Amino acid sequence: MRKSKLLKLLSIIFAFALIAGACGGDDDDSGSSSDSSVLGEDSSEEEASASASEPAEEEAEEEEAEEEAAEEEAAGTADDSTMGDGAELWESIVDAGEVAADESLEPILITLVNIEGTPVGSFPEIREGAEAAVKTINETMGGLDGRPFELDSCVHGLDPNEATACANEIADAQPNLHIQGIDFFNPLLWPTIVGAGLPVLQTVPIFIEDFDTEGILSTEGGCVSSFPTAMEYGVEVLEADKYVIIYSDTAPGLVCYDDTERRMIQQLTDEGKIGQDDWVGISDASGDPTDNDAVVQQVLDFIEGSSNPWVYFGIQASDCNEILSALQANGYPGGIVASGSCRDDSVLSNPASAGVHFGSNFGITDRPDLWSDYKIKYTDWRDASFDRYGPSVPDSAFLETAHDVVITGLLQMIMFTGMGGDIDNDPEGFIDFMAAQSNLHRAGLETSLNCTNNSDEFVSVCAKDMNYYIWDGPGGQFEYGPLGPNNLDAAELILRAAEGNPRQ
Amino acid sequence: MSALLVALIAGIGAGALYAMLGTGIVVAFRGSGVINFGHGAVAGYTAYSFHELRVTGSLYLPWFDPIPEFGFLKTLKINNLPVRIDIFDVTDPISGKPNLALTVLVCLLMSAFLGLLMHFLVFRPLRNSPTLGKVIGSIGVFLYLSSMMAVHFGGQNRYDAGFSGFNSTAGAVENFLGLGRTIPRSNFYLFGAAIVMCVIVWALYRFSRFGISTRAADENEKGAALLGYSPQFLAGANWVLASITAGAAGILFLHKTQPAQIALFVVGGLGAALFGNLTSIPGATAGGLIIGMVASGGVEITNYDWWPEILPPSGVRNFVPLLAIILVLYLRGDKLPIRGSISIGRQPRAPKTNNVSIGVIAALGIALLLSNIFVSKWEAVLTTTLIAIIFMYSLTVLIGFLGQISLVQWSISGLAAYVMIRLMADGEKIRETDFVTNSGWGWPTVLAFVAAIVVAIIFGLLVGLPALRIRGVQLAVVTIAAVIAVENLLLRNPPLMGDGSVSVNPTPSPNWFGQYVGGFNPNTARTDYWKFSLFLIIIAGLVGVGVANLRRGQIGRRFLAIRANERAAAAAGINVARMKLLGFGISSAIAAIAGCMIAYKLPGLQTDQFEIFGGLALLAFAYLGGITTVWGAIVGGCLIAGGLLPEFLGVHFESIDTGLINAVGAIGLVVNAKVTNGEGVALLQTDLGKNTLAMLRRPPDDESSENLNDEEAKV
Repeated sequence: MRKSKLLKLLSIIFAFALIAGACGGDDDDSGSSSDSSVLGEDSSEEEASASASEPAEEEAEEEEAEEEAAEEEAAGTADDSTMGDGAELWESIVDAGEVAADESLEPILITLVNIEGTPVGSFPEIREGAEAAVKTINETMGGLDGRPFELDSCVHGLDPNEATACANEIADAQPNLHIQGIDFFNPLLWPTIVGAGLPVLQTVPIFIEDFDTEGILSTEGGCVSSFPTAMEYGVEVLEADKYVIIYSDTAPGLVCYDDTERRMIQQLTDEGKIGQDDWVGISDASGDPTDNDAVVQQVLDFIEGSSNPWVYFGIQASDCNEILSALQANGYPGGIVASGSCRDDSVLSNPASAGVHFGSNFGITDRPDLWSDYKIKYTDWRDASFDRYGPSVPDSAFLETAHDVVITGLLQMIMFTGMGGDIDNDPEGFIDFMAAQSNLHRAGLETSLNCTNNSDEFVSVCAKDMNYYIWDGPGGQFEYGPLGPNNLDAAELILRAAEGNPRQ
Repeated sequence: MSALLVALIAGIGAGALYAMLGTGIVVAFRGSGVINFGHGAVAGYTAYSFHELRVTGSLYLPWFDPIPEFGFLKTLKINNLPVRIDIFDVTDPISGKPNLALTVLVCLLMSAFLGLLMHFLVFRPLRNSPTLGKVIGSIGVFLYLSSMMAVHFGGQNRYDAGFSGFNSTAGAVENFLGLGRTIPRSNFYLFGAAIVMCVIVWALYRFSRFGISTRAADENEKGAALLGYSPQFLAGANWVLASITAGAAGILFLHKTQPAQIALFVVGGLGAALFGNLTSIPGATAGGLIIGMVASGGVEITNYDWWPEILPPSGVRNFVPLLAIILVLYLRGDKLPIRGSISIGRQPRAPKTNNVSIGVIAALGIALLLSNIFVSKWEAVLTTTLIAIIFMYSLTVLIGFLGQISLVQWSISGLAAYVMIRLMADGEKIRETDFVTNSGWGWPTVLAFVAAIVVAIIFGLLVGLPALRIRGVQLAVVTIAAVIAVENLLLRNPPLMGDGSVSVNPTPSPNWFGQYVGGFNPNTARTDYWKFSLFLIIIAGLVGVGVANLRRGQIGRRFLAIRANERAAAAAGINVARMKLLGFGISSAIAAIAGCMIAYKLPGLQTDQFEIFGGLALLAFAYLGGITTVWGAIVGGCLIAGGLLPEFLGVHFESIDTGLINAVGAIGLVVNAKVTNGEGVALLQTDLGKNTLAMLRRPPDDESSENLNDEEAKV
């Protein structure tokens, strides 16, 4: 909403500049060309596209022909049967060419709650990713049946009171879809947001409550996909004879460890896949460097005599970096597996990260040579979306996630209305529609998600699979690990643990 | 045993950071009499600057550009305030990364510059302010630099390989001392760096003319001034030196932790400085190293089978060293240094609140009116404001009236809330969305509420005990240890507080005499229940009237006497110890009420809500509103994040960066400390109003005759 206001302001100013140029300029040619270039770069209003399309027709025709040829080649990359229902829909919209939404129609209201501007945590990339997606939807995808999207963000600081005020605001606004950004107070917001009966898609789920609450949907797996798959990966794929799980002693960290790591590996232990004394969980004080070496000493003690030891990091990136360095500094000889939350530029530039197996359910990172045509096409399209918007933050996984979740929301809405659903008056129907997806396409993802095969423990999670890729080290690239291109699906283990090791 | 020994020794690496920060804090204190809570933020900002220079070649100056760069302002081509300077060309494929030594030099210059800015813009103007004003100034520095870090460097994690030997690639010392274990080589380098810093700074104070004159000013500022030394020059030079030590610590530890985290390690640094009695550099260095070693060794010792479950390991690791410091301070309280200064300004006025009933009725009327016309968001904002006002009353009593700078009151609110939740919990799931089900004793709401207040009072009295022997800024630092104790030992303690204490602690539904008074409205699913708003209005009104009457009565006058001069108060027959404990008790009870109200309002609580920096922010806003009056608390409550004013501004100025709002707030804090001396916006506007009215009422003839008289007087 902020950006749209800014854009409106900009467009008014540019309009005045145009009028001034037209009235007072002696040199019409130079004036018009500079104006159009300004508009072409900075403005996305309709006038801009109209004026920008006029000049340089010959060159443009040639370029268009080339682009069309390229598009024809790239067409048909999506396949609903493997990528989920909605993949082909996305491709058909994109291939149909750019269509602007009709601004005169009633907008589809999307809301977002997000934490920004605090020294402890600030995630403007989530908001900007969503704003970029909305801009692209409105300017190139034709909105929902021509209706434009409007994004109303409620940004707050590190204060639960502000967060609950945001939840009230969202509940009052009654959006067509709510996107939950990164928020350290999610469990406090769900009673209001879910209670208001809003359809919800999460960007980055953090707490167990984010996975356990009916009525909200997560196309990101969070610790429900990361941790159980990591247990299977370490025990069954890597065949660790000693497996150390380092977890964070924060509120979500402790609960996630107990619920999605300890129970899962206990299940594998009960099934005879690893000995009871061959794994251990060690807590790490988050953000505290005083305990790192002592934690590593415990790791070294535990793996003594092991021929194939592995350590798993179920911790956030800053702590990963600290423990990685401490393991290296203490001469740790074994292998390391790390969750997706561990992977960021700071970790990847740490020499100690060489050889680490990083989890990801978005396919292998930055390896277009190993991507499918669909993935390449989608990534290029998303990059263009960001270029169109011009984010003020660097490209990041959060920026992409927020963007893709909004696009996923659009696809779900189109399919829902296509089946006769009423997006304005039947939020419950829309929630049920999304929750019933057993072959859901999450925009940008090459594999489909299943929201229906959950135990009653993780009712809101659609993504339960993951792959592990090996990082070469700073300046290097990711390589396929033992799983190759195939993801590990933890859905079965989760169901087994729900039965064999239920929550106490 | 060898494992414990190795864990202890391994702690020298992180301990070196505390030692370096402690050294800088002592330097700043000796130079200016200020305990700088923003010292860690200087280290963090320098660490960010170092990384930014290495990666992008740019240096971010520690301010923001107040002139917007859009619209017609852009077309006017106003020269905006420069924020970023491109120093190195990192795109040059030949030179690659900027020269390491040059980068370090630039960063240390930046930290020195930060020291100068702090001196000239914050602490020099506050040099004659009461202790509280200086504490608030340093909190302002912390908040400002934290905001600048968020604005300039964002939330992204940073990694830098650092220096050879100091980083993880240095490998390990195998079989250290024949104990059969390894210790990272880098820890010894960091230890060495802390020792080198200690020796340099100590030698500077011991042997140089600058150091000797600083020590002279430290002991007797007037005497130093009479000998021809400028106390302000010395203070400025010491601020520069302190900031350089902080900058060096930030750069050295960038490979070990995140810059934003370094800013928060100031608590350990303060502990180290106290260990050195705020005067001894070697003492502070030793203190920092010991804190690091105990914290590291604690990981091992708390892992033993015999370790009692009721003592949370991380809480013990962090608290035990500080507890030792408190005991030392308590035992030698009389010997604590009170730094001399040429003059100390007057304490802020604490006038009686007259016409309390009219004020309360008016405030209640306005609040009721607003609560009826508010949509749910604003209802939540109103209750946030009211709870903050209640909490700030506790600061008014303890800090404003009694002059005891306690930073633990917010933690006491948390303690009361958690105790109440535990007492009320009955093992039943409260809301569908709750994950944790808390077990407890199922006490009725009112009984649990009263019991929580009693527990808070007892804890408050315990915290108040050191205040009998420690005062001023030292007491403020000691109460930080209490904050850590509450958060890590009491709140995050499942055997004590239930399973919710390590997660999101679900709050029970409160019923007072059959009436549900929780903030969450089950009918609308919003935090907007009108009965809760009404309940809060009544509580806030009653507490406000109580505090106003306290000030007007005998106890209030005694509090003020103690605040002005403890010895004089004792000579006048006031039992200072009893009054101090009474103040701590009353303040803790009010803080507990605020804590219970938070638990009534929110569906769940987290321990992080009650950590030290949340409490500092509340103190800052109470100070901004006016720490010495009931009206000041009301204004302060409206100013807090999530309160009425920021939310109103947020609606109308949506495009302003949140980080910038915080930075402006921090600047306002410092300006307020100077301009109003802690009397805050409330008294300032009262004075302005009175003066304006007086001016309007004055006949024109009087004015001219007065001017004439003035001129005659001058002649």
